[in-house]
Amino acid sequence: MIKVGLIGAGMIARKGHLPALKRMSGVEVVAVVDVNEKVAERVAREFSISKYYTDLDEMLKGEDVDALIVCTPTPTHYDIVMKCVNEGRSVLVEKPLCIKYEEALDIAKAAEEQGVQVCVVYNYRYFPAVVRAYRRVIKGYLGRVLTLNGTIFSHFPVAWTRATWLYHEGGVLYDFLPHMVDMIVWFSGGKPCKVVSFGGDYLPSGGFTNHAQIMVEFDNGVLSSISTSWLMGTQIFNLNVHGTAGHIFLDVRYNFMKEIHGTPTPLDDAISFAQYMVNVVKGVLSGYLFVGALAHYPIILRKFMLSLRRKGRYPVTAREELDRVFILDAALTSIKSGGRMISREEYERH
Amino acid sequence: MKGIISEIVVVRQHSYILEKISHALRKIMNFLGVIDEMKIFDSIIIKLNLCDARTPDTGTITHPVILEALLKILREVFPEKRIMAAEGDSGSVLADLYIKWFGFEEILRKYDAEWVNLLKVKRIKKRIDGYYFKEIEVPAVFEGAYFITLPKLKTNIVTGITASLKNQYGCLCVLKKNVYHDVVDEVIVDINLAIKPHLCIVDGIVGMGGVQGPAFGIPIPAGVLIGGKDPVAVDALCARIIGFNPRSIKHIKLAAKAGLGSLKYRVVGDPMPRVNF
Repeated sequence: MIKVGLIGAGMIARKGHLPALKRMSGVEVVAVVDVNEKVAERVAREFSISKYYTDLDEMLKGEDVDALIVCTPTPTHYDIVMKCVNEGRSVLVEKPLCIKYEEALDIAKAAEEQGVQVCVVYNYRYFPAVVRAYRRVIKGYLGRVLTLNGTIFSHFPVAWTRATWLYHEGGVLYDFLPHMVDMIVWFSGGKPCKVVSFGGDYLPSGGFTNHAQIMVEFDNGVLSSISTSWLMGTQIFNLNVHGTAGHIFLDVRYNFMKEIHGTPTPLDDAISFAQYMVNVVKGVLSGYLFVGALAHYPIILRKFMLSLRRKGRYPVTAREELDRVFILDAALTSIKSGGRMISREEYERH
Repeated sequence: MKGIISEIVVVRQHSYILEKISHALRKIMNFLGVIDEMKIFDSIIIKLNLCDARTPDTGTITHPVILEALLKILREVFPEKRIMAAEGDSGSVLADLYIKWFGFEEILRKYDAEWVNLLKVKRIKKRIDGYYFKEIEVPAVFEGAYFITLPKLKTNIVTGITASLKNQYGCLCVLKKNVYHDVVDEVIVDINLAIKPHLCIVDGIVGMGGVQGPAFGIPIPAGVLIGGKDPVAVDALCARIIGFNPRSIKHIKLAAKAGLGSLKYRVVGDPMPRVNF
């Protein structure tokens, strides 16, 4: 039996992790921690968890847990994950692992020294259309992938949280963008080595990044650009994968993939429109479209538990997360410096 | 108020240029003779419309230039009077942040006006003969204050339109205002019975149309400012501009029935805009 403790009892814990954990065999959630006692108590009662705490140290002292799941705000991740790792516990943490590259490096080193797993949740990569697209890419159906163009727009997160921690300096870069960054790193098959970014605060007086354009060069020659914003009138999560032999368009939110080779004919467009509609109808009827990426928590948790039993490999570990955190951190640094190119070497030198 | 014909001032204005808007607002206020009426009040409170985290160009929220033009006029006439701009927190409204993000804070500072988060101030209970409430909690700052409501001209997926009457929904002293969505039209009337605006200025320079209003609809450059002292008549005209029969909008009909104003109006000023919402 794997004993798990959950840190941060907010929305993602209640709607993503805990329902999936409760359905898993061989896993027991022994305690929940939240700084808000009422929330901790309510969630413990709702999911029949025997103990709740408001202090992480007390929980680590009082409970013999094998792993911890961290669902707290991103700026708190570094301290919490380091504490758990130094106590010899494995950790599954919501994306992104942390804010700064050097923090990610610290965590990766500490995890390796302690011999524990630190894994990061990227639930959008499990949409069937994304998995299918990735398989097509690695099998070579697009030839050599040269360009990845992503667009990820969401409204301000006020619709789902009244918490204000997201409006720190990095702002939109640390909200949904990490999912897109994960996809471009994954699809590129390379290591990001240069980042240039423009954008920043497009409000009269926001004080945080709310709109940005990021360009990334990978060591294998793949080029990528991502547009991200909290200011747009529509919600979009699209990725275009361009290769020498074809192109894949991914609409992640609608779990839709379109593959194009050569010049599309009107018949291709008609077929793809029909496929899109079938996909939407299937998504609505199955309820999948409404649940969205929350539907993937059982897969994520299963992979994490298997990796703890040394029976499988979790896809994004702390070491791999360095690539993603580098892009996020470098994007913010580049924006702050007026669009200076940031190289991986520069980060690694420091 | 059966039989009464309320006067509504329509001014065509196509851009958010401070001087032009000041001129338009002066025209509205002079015609309605409201400046004299304000003199006997201790304070003036302006209810903004900050219903979501959307920039003013989307037509979702009160445009800061409208507030600035209004404050400019008020400060010239009343250099010493307490003037407040207000909005209340709700599910999707972090009012204290929006005031800063969208540039209102600086304007308020410039004209020495106060910011009031309606959910964070003292409340009083008012007895009303409402459709849903017989007693309702309202922010105490409205007591003894001249009340200007400053909404946008928008479609609303729940209530049909959002204009003068609906803007007071944001004055409800609860955070989760959607708890009343089943009786929203009745509650809109009730809150207006408790705190009825003295002056309504609807900003339709860029309004909002489509079925995703009041937050995610289509910006409609209707190019109009609408002013009046009767919120029912003002909203009846707004409904007409958007393309509804005012009697088909439940809260307008209920408000007229409750005596909050008249469905009959006479338009003075510029001709009504003809736009597709």
